[in-house]
Amino acid sequence: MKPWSWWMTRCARTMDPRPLAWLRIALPLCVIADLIRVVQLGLVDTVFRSFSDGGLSRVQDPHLLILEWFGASAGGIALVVTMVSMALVSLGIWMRPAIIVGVLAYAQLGHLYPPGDRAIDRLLRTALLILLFSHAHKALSVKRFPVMRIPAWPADLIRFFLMLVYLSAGIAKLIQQPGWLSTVATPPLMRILTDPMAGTLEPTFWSAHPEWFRMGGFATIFIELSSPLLLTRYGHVWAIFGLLMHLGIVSTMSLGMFGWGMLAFYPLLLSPFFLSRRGE
Amino acid sequence: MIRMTGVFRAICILAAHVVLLLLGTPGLDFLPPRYLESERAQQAMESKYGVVRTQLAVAAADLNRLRLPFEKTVGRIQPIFRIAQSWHLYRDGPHQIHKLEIRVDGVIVYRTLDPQRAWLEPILRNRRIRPVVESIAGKPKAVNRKGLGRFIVAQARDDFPKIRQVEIISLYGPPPGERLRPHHRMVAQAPDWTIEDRKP
Repeated sequence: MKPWSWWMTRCARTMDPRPLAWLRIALPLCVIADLIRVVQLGLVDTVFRSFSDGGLSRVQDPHLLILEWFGASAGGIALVVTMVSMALVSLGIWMRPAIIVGVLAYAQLGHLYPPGDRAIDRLLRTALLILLFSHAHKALSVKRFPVMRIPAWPADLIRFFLMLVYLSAGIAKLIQQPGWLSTVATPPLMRILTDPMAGTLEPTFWSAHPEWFRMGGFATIFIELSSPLLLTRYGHVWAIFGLLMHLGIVSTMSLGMFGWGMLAFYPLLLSPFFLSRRGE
Repeated sequence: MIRMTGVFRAICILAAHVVLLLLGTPGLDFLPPRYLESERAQQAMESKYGVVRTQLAVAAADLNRLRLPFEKTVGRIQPIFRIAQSWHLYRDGPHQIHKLEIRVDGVIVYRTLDPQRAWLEPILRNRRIRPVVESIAGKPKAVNRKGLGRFIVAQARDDFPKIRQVEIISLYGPPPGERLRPHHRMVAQAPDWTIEDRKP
């Protein structure tokens, strides 16, 4: 088959709507849970206000608009708008407008408090913007739709995006820290997981067992560099290893939403184990 | 008509893949724009790493410079949604152990990862606050130190009435971190509670 015909066929593929619906439900729930935690800890006025209004961060991004519009209460307003929009996306109600409004408000929270808006926030916003063009609301939604199949390309694009994320991470590790492949140097993974600031492993005990981290480092590099498998029929097999890596991160580091946000993608990646591949 | 719609869709989807690829090209997105551009920089690398590795690095840097005009045009939409990607996902951990310690009237009430001194632990380890804590523990002039200091002092005055002094101390030392010593600190005292940088 010629490449363009192959691409046309691939773009016309359809799929069971449930994997994208799982993603539509899980990603906003991660954002909501993260923001609820901010509210629960009483941090709204600390993180979502500028320094001059009594907040923590002296630095705001130039694309911050809401501070001019709403003054010191801008952060609270953006937080409520984000949470309501994410709830609507999760329920499948007005999904497309809710994604646009929710992602813009969520981005404004990031512009208002850049130190706390991390890679995972950017990743979730990007995935939500891809879902904007999908029919993810046509399953597991408050509104009933007839059983149908939906275009598969948004799921493919999300897999491609995740492949870029993992591959970038693997290449960046190797270029900037050759110790990842060393059999003698202190394993970088040990420094990461025993760093008291983010890791939870006790440095004194674990520094006596570098071999575990060395093996873990090799496995990490292998998983990240093999992520192009996500684009093949073996993508769901690769996802088992990716899942284990993220479960390892969740259990050894306190990174908050990062672990859960990444794990939220895995029902989609693992969906071939649960659903038939009919028509794909 | 159906055929035309299919072609248009295929072109748009291809464009979406190309945009994602160019904006987050693996391994290139973290290279500085002028990386290995000069003869001198290339020669310096060649003397250290050899011809083959240098040529590969130069090729990557040149490829990145071809990508940058695209990032400067199409990529300008990214800040609106705050989606610019730079995926490093922990390239390395710190070579020194850093911890933050908080003392209220000389009594240690918090030290990073110390279950016996865990005042404010859920807040200081929350993912939104932790990057600021990490930055303050590592850098004496961290840009948000006064903001975090003000927050900690306010919390201390709420939780420990009648206190006279709050100290926020950055500890550091070699791994595994059994012998940490103060690197820099901030102090606030009653009655004005102004936060001042102090040497250890």
